[in-house]
Amino acid sequence: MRVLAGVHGLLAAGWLATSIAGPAYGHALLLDSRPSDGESVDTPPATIELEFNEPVEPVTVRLLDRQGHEVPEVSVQTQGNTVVVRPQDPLPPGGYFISYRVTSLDAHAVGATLRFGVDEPAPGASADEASTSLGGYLGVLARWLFYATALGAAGMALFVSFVGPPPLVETRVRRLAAGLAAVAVSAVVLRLGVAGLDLGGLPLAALLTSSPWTIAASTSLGVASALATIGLAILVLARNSNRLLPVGATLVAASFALTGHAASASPRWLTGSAVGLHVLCAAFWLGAFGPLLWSLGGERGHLTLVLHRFSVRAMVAVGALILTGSALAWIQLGGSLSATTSTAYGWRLLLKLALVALLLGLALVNRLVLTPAVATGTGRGVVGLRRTLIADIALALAVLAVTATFPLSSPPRSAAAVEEGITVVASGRGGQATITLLPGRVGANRLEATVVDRDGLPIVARSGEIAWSMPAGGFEPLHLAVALPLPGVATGAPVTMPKPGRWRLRLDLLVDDYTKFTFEGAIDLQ
Amino acid sequence: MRSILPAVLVALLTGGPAVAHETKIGSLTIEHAWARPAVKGNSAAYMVIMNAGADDRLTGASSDVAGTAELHSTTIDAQGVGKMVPVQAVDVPSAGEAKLAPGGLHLMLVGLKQPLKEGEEFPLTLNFEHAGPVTVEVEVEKKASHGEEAGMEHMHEQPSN
Repeated sequence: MRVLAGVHGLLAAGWLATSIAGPAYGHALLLDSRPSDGESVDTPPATIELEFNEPVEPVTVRLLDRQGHEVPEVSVQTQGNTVVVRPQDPLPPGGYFISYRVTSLDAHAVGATLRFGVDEPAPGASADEASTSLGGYLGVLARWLFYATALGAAGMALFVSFVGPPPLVETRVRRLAAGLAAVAVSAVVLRLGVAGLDLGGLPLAALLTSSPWTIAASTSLGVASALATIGLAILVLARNSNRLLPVGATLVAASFALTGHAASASPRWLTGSAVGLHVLCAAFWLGAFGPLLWSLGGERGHLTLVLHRFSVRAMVAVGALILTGSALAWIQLGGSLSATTSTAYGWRLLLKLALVALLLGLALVNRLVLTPAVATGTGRGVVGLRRTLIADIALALAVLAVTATFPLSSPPRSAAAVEEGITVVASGRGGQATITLLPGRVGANRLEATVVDRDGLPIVARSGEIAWSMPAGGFEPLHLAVALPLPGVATGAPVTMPKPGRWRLRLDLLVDDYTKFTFEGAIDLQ
Repeated sequence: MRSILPAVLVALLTGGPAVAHETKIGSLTIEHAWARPAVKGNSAAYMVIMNAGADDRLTGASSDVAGTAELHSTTIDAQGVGKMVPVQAVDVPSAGEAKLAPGGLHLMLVGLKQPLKEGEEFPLTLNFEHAGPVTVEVEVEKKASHGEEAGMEHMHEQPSN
């Protein structure tokens, strides 16, 4: 009797213990890890250690590089409460993930992915951090080249049409404007290709193929580049027509309104037109410095006239520039001034504003001191203007360079608001995929997916593919490769979805040669 | 004695007060719908939806206890930044399931009109594209009882795995 009661008691206790043990992510706890999550170490660690609060049994422990590829030749051992991961070869500099799943004594599985970097920041750092990759720098360079040549060409064209320099200068300006426009076309192409590398997660060598351009062409940048090219072509071919030159310049400025962070804030009609006007005025102002410099060598009467005509128009242009710039900056900062000093974007904006303030200061000197000096004919005016105009050109290039770095980080407004898009959850036999389509409208969309297995742990896949189709609309499956930047995260290159309606999707993730996860779902596009 | 032992063994093998609380409507089975207790503000509801019939989609939900009920899920973007986003629909494929669990997909109950106290129940209407509105009773619990995270049809992880 007592024995039986004892057995009952034991069974009941055992049942009780296992039933109140809690959810799967509870029992074994990770106390510490070396390196710690998010840490960047200077030298490759000989071992990666995961210390738990009790002895654990590793189920899977994988060390992955930044691209999600498993580091080969890694041994996993347990020493007491600690799991020790030992790579056979020293880890090359880069970002790494340690993705583990262990079971504790009570047979509950816990898992997580930690990140660390060797001689580099850990992957998956704040979205606000600037991209330090080569692709990031190349993008800045491509944009800077485009801004300088396109705005230079457009500005000079506007100068010829509206300020009317003396004949000798005019020929020179027309020729240079056309030359800059031709160079700007190649800058457009370069910018598109570099953007395609970023969108598709491709390596630099892909620039030798057509993929980066086909990827980028289907985005708003593709449309903007086409419009810019048309405007630039007009500047080259119609260089002697005072009627067509402003058209070309306006098209170039308008192309900026079709893409980018600033022009995509809502309301788009407002921000888009503000950006277009901003660029047009900037082109006129900054593009005039060269022609003004060349006009200095001419006859004093002509020079005075040119200076006067320019400054009248420049006042309007600079006024509009400041108004549109302030409005755009305010929207981009998300309506908060504190964002200027707390975000990378904010610092860049402050730097740009400081440089523009310097330009304005020089403009005042030009207007109030040097231009009257020219009129009095002492010669000091011309000498002074030569110096300030050279300084103006240098500052203008600096402003454009800083502006070219803006796309490296997201403006604070998008951190404040959830980015638009449509999200659906698709289930598969192995788990669940939360799939977001951005921006979730008819047209070019890119995909971000978070994929987890049945236990809610991220799925680490080697490669993946997504197929979009709209059977009702006659679209056969469109297959696209999927990039896997982090465990559990898949991103798809932009795909153009030209029709509203229900798009079916199928996401296949290959974990290894034997394991494939498939998720099927549908998104309704308005 | 003999009558107790089998019961205890059954309870032990099935992991405790497990197979309780499921609703069957048509070919849909909603298992263990539960929500977190809250005095006011928002709460979240979780469940496992299994579909033995044709493909269906959960497009929304509503309840008298809250102003609105919204489907939300966590996403992680390419920089590793996690976000909670509203979900347009959840696919519940034929012979498949959709799991709403803490840390991932869930039904957010926004603007509670009454406090949710542990041990109570309240009705929640799930809107399916084909099955239409389906009402389930949601239990208010502090956390999922043992085994719920892995889904009802998979008991807790066994060491022999």
